[in-house]
Amino acid sequence: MATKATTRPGRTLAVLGGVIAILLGLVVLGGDWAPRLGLDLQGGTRITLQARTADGEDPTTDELAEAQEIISSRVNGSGVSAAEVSTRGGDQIIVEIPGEQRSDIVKQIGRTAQLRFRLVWSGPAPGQQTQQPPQQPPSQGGGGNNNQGDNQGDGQGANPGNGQGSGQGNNRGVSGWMLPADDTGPEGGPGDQPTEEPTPTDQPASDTPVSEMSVEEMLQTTLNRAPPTEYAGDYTRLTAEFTAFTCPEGDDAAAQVDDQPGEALITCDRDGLKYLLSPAVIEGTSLTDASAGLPQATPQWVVNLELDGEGSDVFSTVTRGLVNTQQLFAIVLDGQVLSAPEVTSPITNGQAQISGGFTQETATDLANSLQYGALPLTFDESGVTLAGPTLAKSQLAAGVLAGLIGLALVVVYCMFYYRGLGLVVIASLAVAGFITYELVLLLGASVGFTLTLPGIAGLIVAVGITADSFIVFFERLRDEVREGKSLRLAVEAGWRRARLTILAADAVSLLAAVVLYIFAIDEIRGFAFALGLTTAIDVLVVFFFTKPLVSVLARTKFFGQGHPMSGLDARHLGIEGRRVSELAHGARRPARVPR
Amino acid sequence: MSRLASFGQNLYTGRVSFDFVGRRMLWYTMSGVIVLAAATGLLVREPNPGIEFKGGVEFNVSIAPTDTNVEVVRDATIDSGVDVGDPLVTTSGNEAVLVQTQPLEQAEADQVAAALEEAGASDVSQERIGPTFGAQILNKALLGLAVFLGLVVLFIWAYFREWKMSVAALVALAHDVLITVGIYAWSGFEVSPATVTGFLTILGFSLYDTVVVFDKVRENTRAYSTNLSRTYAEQANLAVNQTLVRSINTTVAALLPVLALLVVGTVVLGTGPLKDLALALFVGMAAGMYSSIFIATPLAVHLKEQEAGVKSQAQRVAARRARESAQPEPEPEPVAATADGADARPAKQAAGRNQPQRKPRAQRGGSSRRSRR
Repeated sequence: MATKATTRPGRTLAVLGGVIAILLGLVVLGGDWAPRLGLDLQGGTRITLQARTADGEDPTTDELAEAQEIISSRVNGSGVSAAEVSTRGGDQIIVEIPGEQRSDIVKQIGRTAQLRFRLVWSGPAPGQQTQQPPQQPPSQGGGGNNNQGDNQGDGQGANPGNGQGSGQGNNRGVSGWMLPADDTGPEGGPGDQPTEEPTPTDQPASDTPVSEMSVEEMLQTTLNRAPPTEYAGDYTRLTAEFTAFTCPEGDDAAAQVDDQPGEALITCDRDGLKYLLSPAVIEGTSLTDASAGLPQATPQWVVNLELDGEGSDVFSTVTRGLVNTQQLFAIVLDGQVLSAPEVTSPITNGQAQISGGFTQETATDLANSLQYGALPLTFDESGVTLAGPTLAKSQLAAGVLAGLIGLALVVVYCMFYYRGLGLVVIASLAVAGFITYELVLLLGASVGFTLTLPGIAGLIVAVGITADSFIVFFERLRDEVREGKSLRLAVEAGWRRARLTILAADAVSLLAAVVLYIFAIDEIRGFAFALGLTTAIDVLVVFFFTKPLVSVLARTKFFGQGHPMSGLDARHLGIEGRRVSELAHGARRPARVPR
Repeated sequence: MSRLASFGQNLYTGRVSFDFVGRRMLWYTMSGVIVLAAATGLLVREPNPGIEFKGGVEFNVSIAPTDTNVEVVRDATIDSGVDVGDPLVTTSGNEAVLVQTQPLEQAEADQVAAALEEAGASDVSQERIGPTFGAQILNKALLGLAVFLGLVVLFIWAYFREWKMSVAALVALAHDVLITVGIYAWSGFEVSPATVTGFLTILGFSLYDTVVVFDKVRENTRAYSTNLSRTYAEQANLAVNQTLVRSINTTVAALLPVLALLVVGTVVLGTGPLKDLALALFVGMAAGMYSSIFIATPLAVHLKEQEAGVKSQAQRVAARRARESAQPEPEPEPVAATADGADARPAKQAAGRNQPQRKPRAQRGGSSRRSRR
C-alpha cells in the first residue's frame, strides 16, 4: 500500500488537473466569468412572505408551490422583469428582484386575494354604513337582468314561510346591530310560531352547526334575521360572539380574522364596522376574470368580476332572494368586508362589481391580484429589503477587501512558519480557490447560486479551515520525522494518520454547514453554503493535490534533504544528530508500517 | 521561528511539558471566572437586538457620516410627515448613516426614504421587518441549536464511542458558547441573524478543535493499561502538549481571516453581517482552542480516572516508579527511549492492538472477583 501510494502522486495530480480542466470547460461553455451577485452586493428588492395557516401547521408542498406560481404571475403581471420567486423552509416565499427597487409591488403580490361572497346576517345599521350600496347594484345589473325580476316574489314569499323563529330571544340581544329590515321578516316569523316556545327541549335538535346550511337556508336566515330551527343553537352562539366582538382600530383590522369558507365569519369593513356573515356562498375560485374599470358617469374606480357558470347560478339565486329587501350580501376579501351592497335587481349573467373607495391604482392592483387567482395560503409580509446601489457597491468592496487581507495574512503566516512548505500551502489554497471560483460560476449558471456578503464571509472563513487541514498534515509529518523516520517515509506515515483527523474535522465542518444551511435565515444562508462547499473542496484538494504534491516534493533535493529554507530541515524540526532524509538509529522501519 | 519549532519538538517528546491535565482545578477555576465574567455581560449590558429581531425599518443612508449629517438625517426622518416614533440615528462605518424606526407601512417607509434622499443622501436602502418575523427567526435559530446539539452528541458518540469524552466535549462546547455570547454582549454589537449563525458555527469549530486533540489522546492512550511508563493522565497530557503547536497554528490560521473580516466589517461598513459574524467567530474560535486544551481534555481524563482500570494502571505506574527510584539502574533504557522510543513501545504493542484493549477489562473483572472473595 505504502509503496503504491508513493509511486502514484503524479497520477493523482493528473486526475485533479483533469477535474479542474473539465470544470473549466464547463465554465467556458457557460460563458459567464463573473459570479452572480446577491441582492446585497448588486442592489435590488427582496420580499419575504411568510405563510400563515389557520392551525399553525406548515402548509403542504403543493399549496406552497401553487402560491409560488400565482405570486410569480402577479410579479410578472406588474411589469417586473427578471424577478425570481422561490420557496424557502416549507413556509416562506421569497421574491427577489435584482437591480430594481420596487417597493410598490409589495402589497399586491402578497395579498391572498381570497375573495368570497357571503350573506350579511347581522351588520351595522344602514345609517352607519359609509359605503354606498345603492350605487352599486345598478351597475351590477347589467343587461338582461330584468326578466328575472318576477322571480323575486317567489323567493321572498317562500323564505319567510320557512323561517323558524327559534332562538329569537337571543337574537334580540343583538338586535341593535341588526338592520331595521328586521321588523318585517322576523317579526312575522316568531309571531307565526308560538310553538317555538319550548325551544330548550329542542336544544339537541337545534344544535346543527351553521356550516351545514344550504345556500337557501342561509338566505332564509338573512331574510328572517333568524335561522331555521336546527341551527338555532349555533346561531345563538354566533350572535353572542358577534355582540362581544369589537373591531380593532386601523386598516389592518381584518387581518386578525380567520376566514374559513365553510364557517360563518365575524369581521369588519375598512371603516371598522362589524358584520356577522354567513358561510361563503360563492368563492373566489368561481372567478373567471377580474379587471379594473371606471364606470361611465362615476368618479369611482371599480373592479369588475366575472363568475363562472356555477358561481353565476348561485349569485343569481342570492340576488333574486335579496332583491328589494334591503338585506345585504358582502364581498369579503381576505377576511375584510370590501363592500356590502343591497340588491336592487337580480344579477344572472355572473357579472359583479366591487366598488368602495378605489383609486385607479388600488383597483388595478386588486384586479391583478384577483386575476391570477387567490393564494391557497395567507401570507404575512414579513420582510422587505431594498438594497441601494451605493450600499451594495461598498459591501462588495468591503467583502473583497476583507478576503484579500485575510488571504494575505494566512499566506504570510504560513510562509513564516513553514517556509518551503508554505509554498505548498499557497499552491493548495490557489488550487482550492480556483476550484471554488469555478464551482461558484457553475452553480450560479446551473442552480442560480448567488454570492452574497455572508457567502463571501463564508469563503473567507474557509481560507482558515482549508489551511487547517494542511497544518494538521504538516504537523503530523513533522511528528513522524521526529519519531525517527526519514522524510519520505514520514510523508506516507504522517498522511495516513493525518487523513483521519482531516476527514473527521471536515465532517464536523460539513455537518455544521448543512445544519446551518437548513436553519439559517435566508440572508445568511450563503455563509453556510460557502462553508460547506469549501469544506468539500478542502477534502478534494488535500487528498488530490497537497498530499501528492508533498510526496513529489519529498523526493526533491530541496525538501528531501532538508534544505534550511524548506521548512523541513533538521534544525527547524528540532531533531539532532541526523538529516531528515535518514532514518533515526533506533527507529525500526517495519514496526511502523502496519499502521 | 526555529526556536518555536524546536520548542515544538520538545513539547512532542515531553521534554517540555505543560501540566494541562494535572492542574485541572486551576483551569476549571480560570474558565469559571471567565465564563462568569462573560455571562455578567448578558445581565449588565442589555442585548442589543438588530432590526431583524425587533421589527421595524432600518434605513441605510449613503451620506458622509459626519455629525452634521447625522442631524440632517434625523431632522429629515422626523419631518418626513410619517409618524416614525423615536428614530435611532447612528453612523455606520465610514460611508453611511443608519436610521431605525418603528414598524412602518411600505408606503410610509418609501416616504421617509424619499425625504432622506431629498436631504442629500445619494442612495437609501431599507430593510423592513415585520414584528413577528424576528420571533420566527429566533425560534428557527433555537431549533437549529437543538438539532445541532443532538447531531453533535451523536457525532461525538459515534466517533469516540465513549460517553466520557462526549460529555467533556459537550462541556467544552457549552463553555465556548457561553464565553462567546457573553463577550458579544459586552461588545454592544447588534444581535442579528448573522450573530446567531456565528454562534451556531462556533459549535462546529469548537468541536473541530476537540476532535483534533481527542484524536491524539485516544492514540496515545490506546494501550495505556499495558504501558507502565506513563499513567493515563500523563499520556493524555502528553497528547495535549504534542498537539499544542498544531492547535496554535490551526487556530492562528483560522483566526487571521476572521480578524480581517472583523476589522473590515467594523471600520469600513460599520454594520451588517460581516462584523457580527466575525466577532462571534473570532471569540468562539479562540475559546474553542482554549477549551479543547484546558477544559475538554482535563475533564475527559477526570471522568476517565473514575474507571477501575485507569485507577489500577495509575497504581501500577506509581508502584513501578517507586521500584525504579529505589533502584534506578535496571531501567535506563526506557528513560532514554522516551525521546524517540516513547512511541516505539506502543508501536511494538500495536501489532496486537486489540488485545491490550480487551485485557484491562479482563483484569478489572479478575481483580473485582478477587476482591469480592
